[in-house]
Amino acid sequence: MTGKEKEKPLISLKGLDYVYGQNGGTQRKALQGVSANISPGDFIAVIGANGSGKSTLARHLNALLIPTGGEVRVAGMDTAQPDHVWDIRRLVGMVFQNPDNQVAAAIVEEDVAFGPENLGITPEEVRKRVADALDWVGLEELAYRPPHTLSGGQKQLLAFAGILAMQPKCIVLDEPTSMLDPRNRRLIMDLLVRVNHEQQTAIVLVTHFMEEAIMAHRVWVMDNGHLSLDDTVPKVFSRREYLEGLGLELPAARQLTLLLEKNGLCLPQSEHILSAENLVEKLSYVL
Amino acid sequence: MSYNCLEFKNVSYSYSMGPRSMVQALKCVSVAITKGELISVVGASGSGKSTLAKHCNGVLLPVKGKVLVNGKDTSKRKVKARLWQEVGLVMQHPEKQLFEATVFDDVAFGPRNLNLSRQEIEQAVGRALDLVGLDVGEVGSLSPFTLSGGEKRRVAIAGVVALFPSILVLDEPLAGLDPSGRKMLLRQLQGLHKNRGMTVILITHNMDDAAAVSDRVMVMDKGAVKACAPVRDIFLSALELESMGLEVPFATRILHSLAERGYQVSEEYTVEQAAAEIMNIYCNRGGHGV
Repeated sequence: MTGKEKEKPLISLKGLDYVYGQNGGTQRKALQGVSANISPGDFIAVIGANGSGKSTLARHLNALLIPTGGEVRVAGMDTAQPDHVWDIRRLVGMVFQNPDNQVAAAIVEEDVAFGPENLGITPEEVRKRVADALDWVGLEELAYRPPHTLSGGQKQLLAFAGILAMQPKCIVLDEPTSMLDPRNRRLIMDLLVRVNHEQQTAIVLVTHFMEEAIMAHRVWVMDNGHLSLDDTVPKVFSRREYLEGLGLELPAARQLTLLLEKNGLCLPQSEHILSAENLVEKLSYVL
Repeated sequence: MSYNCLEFKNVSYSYSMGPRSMVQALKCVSVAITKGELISVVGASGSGKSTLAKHCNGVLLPVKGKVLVNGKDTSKRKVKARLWQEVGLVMQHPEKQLFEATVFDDVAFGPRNLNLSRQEIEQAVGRALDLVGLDVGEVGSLSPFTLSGGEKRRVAIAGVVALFPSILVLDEPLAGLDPSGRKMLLRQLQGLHKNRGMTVILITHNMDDAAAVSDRVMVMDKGAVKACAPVRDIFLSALELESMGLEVPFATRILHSLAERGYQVSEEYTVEQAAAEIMNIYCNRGGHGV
């Protein structure tokens, strides 16, 4: 550290455990001893096989689930305290997989206004935030349309605008693109990178797509309820066997780079080659 | 012998989105699918893929045109009533439709409605689970709700496969699965097609998956079929695909970028093929190498 005090984490997880079925039924341990921090401006991708605990973890970040062991604090507030729930959800917004389950109002604009209106801010401020949020996601022309006439991708952008308008410090997204086509997937990803970069909003992205994980600063790898690795993107994706053992894979650009290496074509700093653009650029030096 | 087991003849379909707006979901779709083929259907959201799928087993009937399954018109009442035995449809997120107390009972639901003997039902369930990579002895007595997402998906698919339809239509069966679950299911679908001669129609957003497994790829855009051809012939026009909200497979993208920079490469679509192409340039680079 350079004399400056280390930045306080926005969200801290300490020894977080979660067991499903505590109120009867079969008990299943979904999270075990997860400890980590999320700081303002972070962009974290959470990867892991189906059933590894990614979604359970995500739902702890804004008090949708309360730990059965350990603690989660958001800006110092313990999520287990019912009094804190609304303050916590104001700071941490959540976008889910299925765009159809997230619409609350009959008109696009009203849907975006739903969140901020419940924050107790002035109507002028609500109007400004709604306009800004629609502008950010590029839906301003559809402001007066009923949400059910939007496409799946547009509905997901709408859900995202609703969260943006609340101006949270952190946005958690649980597989937001898994039901979208390639174009809308790219739209959402570009938007996440921009919001993170320009507004310093922390992003936690749960995903099955390694091509999306490479957009993050850090990757959390979940394995059977444990946070088994928390490292930078190149470091995580340099561990091929470990990832494949967990049912995961390398980004396609990295797979191709390794295949070229095996054939005797070694590219400089190859562990940093993760995207198609990067690979083509590096190739153009040696070919 | 190969013949057309499924034919769309000039099929149009519209549905209403409110009192004054009709959406035309299919526009004059004509396509013939050969028995034993594995065909992928790709297209952006709203391009008509799911509507097309629902026409394959008579869940929806054309407003105009005809759908023929093994030569029989799906709009005929007698045909429609028996169609569920010939065409299996796995809808989006089929695991949401699991409902029985055990995996065995869930998969057995279809066969039980076929008036089979107990022994035949057991056989059908065992084989169907086997085909999706699950073991009836291991998971048969479990509640489907205790399984992982990928396993639930496979149980739901087994429930459809257990009727041994000659045509299997799957609407985005890979969405939400982790990479290994994805690969496993793709392999199993290929197995159903290769080993059991099932005709498989796979609806997906993912061009890499489509390229990896299919005999032909059908591209849909705004309710119309834009192309239907072997993979090699489809991915030629990247610009066109991108304008439809799709993309070319990763390997093709890399090779296109190299071609734009003046390298001589041929059109390929898997990572292995791309590696071979690049090695070829590398080994033959004369003059300007380092």
